[in-house]
Amino acid sequence: MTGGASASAEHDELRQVVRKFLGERSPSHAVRRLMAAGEERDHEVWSLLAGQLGLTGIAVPERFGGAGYGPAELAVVLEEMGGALLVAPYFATVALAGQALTASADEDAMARWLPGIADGTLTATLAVAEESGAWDLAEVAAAAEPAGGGWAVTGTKLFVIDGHTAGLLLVVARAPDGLGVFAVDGGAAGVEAARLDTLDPTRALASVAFNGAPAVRVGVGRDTAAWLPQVLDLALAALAAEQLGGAARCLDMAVSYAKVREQFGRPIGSFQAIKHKCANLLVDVECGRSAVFHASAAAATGQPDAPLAAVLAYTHCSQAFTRAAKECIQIHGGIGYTWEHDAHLYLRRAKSSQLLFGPPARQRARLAELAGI
Amino acid sequence: MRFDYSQELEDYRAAVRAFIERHGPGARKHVGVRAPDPDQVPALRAWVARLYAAGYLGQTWPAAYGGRPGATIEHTFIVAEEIARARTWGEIGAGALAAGAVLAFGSEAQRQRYLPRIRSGEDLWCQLFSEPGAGSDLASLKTRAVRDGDHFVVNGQKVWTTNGHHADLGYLLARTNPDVAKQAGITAFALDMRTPGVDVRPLREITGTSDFNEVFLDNVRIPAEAVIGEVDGGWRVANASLGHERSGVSARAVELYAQLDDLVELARRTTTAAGRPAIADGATRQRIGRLAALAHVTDVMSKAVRSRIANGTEDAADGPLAKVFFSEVNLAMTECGVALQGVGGMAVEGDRQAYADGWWQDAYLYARAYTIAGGANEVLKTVVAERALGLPRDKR
Ligand SMILES: Cc1cc2nc3c(=O)[nH]c(=O)nc-3n(C[C@H](O)[C@H](O)[C@H](O)COP(=O)(O)OP(=O)(O)OC[C@H]3O[C@@H](n4cnc5c(N)ncnc54)[C@H](O)[C@@H]3O)c2cc1C
Repeated sequence: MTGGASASAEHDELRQVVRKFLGERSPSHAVRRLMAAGEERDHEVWSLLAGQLGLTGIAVPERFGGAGYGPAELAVVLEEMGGALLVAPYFATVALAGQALTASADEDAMARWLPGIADGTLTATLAVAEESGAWDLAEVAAAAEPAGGGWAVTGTKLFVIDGHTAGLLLVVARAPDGLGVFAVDGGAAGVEAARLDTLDPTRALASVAFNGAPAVRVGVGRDTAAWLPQVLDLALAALAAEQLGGAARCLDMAVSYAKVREQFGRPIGSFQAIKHKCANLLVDVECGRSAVFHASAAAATGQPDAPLAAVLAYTHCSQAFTRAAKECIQIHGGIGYTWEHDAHLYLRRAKSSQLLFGPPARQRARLAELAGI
Repeated sequence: MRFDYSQELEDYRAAVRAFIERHGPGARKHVGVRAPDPDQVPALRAWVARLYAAGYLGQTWPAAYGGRPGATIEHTFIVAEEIARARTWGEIGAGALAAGAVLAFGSEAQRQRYLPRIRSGEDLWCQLFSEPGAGSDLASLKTRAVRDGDHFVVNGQKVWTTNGHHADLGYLLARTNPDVAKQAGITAFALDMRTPGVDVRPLREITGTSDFNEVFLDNVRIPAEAVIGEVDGGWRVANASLGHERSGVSARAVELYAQLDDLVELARRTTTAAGRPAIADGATRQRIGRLAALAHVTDVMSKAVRSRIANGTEDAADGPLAKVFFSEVNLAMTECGVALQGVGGMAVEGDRQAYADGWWQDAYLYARAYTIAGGANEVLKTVVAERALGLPRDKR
């Protein structure tokens, strides 16, 4: 298959390193073992990924122990992780919580938590969605009240990625003066988290109930409305990158199989019906790659069209990934319909990712709005 | 032209419906599931026996073997439709398929031997056709059957054998002559699944359940009297019996209607971002409207096919065409069912957030089977193009 959404030789190199690492450390059987055991990660893999490769710190500013890169490099890593279906709290910790802390520009908060994220000792997540499941700030009902010198958070968050294992929960809640982000220790009193049974067993989602949980406000002194929406856009762009990786992997699997599986005395890839399916998927993947590249570059440099670019990438890659996963099953025939083949794991991941940040209808409506329609 | 049933047939339908309500096995068939749980099997054997005894299964067989005089293929369709409507179990396994082959090609001794035990539910059959290397290209199958006195010795492997783990008998295709054109060297057998050398190993499907199996055949000795039809004549036997699967055509439309009702109910119960019931949302109404149209088209199309089958004017492309259409509508419906649940569509069976205990999520995964099993859609489309449209044939 082709390379990736790389701007530079540096990106290519990063991609190769991550791909090789995941190929060795997160092959299918490892993914399945974690999945079956319901574990959130392989600790050895996590420490290598954080320590040796420095991937947890990739988007963390250097002064907080990271490599100081941004969304574009993170996208490269996430694409590879999506391709490997890595079971680890990476997306939640790095793409959600890490980027949220950085975007908050809250020196105290950054100094307190980013070094832990960068060196892999702290896992974290961002809790936005509630009853409706949508990542829509207007629907946030969780409340934060001043308590003692800090805050107390009350409310229930749903579909929180790695919400039951995260060391740090960044909770979007309503304070008397408006929307805010509140840092709650995963083990704090008044926090009750439970994993949900969802379509995708490779990504843990949890419901987290907060009952007067002690919290620290993040982004004090700054208008949350000025930076939190950007965090959500970064999240969309990041998820799109991960989806792109999944789609590309499905295409790879389908093409490799179509080359070797013979029926009627020739490879099934020689039948035009199969060729066209694969070609359509390549069109999807290549367009997705451009969309992801555009979205992460726009987010990195704070372009005014960054929100549009993010929704666009998410919408396109959601579709590309689900389609690729379905065609991958179809092209594999009976084998693609088995539990043992990985195709369904990608379909499960694709379908859940498509819904995770709000279903397609909502995203399309937002896209139209952002495009000025 | 109308395809409705006559009053007499509608009365028959009412009787079938009442019978299922009264005697049905109760267990609602879970969406997409093709094989029962082991503990359900005894009750379902009894249910199959009851359906046969009442004349609701096997009714078009010759009267000498238990058929019901005056029964037509339309009665068969009605029974299949009512079973689908009740979302319950019908015949388990490939009994009807095997009976069709035995009736059309079997010896009198075979009919006496196999048919009563199909009727009594004592023998469940599986279909041992597909192999790891022979799926769409079934005729390239490699399982070998070599004559040894009054037996054949069979070696090879079958795969995707639905109900293989419950089956007493297998309707097997094996190669008896490797030196002729691939279709000309195949023989059909009735295999006792308890013969030494038959090893059935369950496979799990996409949902994690186990409906199908791989079946390894290691020096399995099959008596020559278990050959169905002529030696090397198995391709004709298989093709004729594959045609028997067509009674499913109209039941599929019933399934789609039931799903459509569920979809509407779901749209009533879920709310959109704007806080209205989804059913009041324009885009949702359009989507469901489109699916309703497709379900209705499936229905009228299957009725047309059904009436052509009944009066013997069926086109060879009818079955493939109906199957392709149904399987794609079915996919679209399950997609819609999951989509209507919004982010909650991620929750599955066992989760408190799950709608209808994850029914739609299962349906969404199971729906992939219909575009592959019983002929992959890509291959069927080629068949349609060649048979119905007369386009130049693909090399095969
Ligand atoms: C749920 C389920 C239950 C089943 N139950 C049984 C059973 O009980 N007994 C039994 O014998 N079998 C059973 N099967 C097997 C089924 O009949 C085969 O899966 C089917 O025929 C396809 O064969 P395959 O899986 O080998 O795919 P392949 O034939 O390898 O096809 C792979 C892909 O190549 C495409 N392809 C192949 N040839 C062509 C062509 N000429 N032109 C264009 N595209 C082509 C196909 O469309 C498909 O997308 C079952 C299958 C499923 C999924």
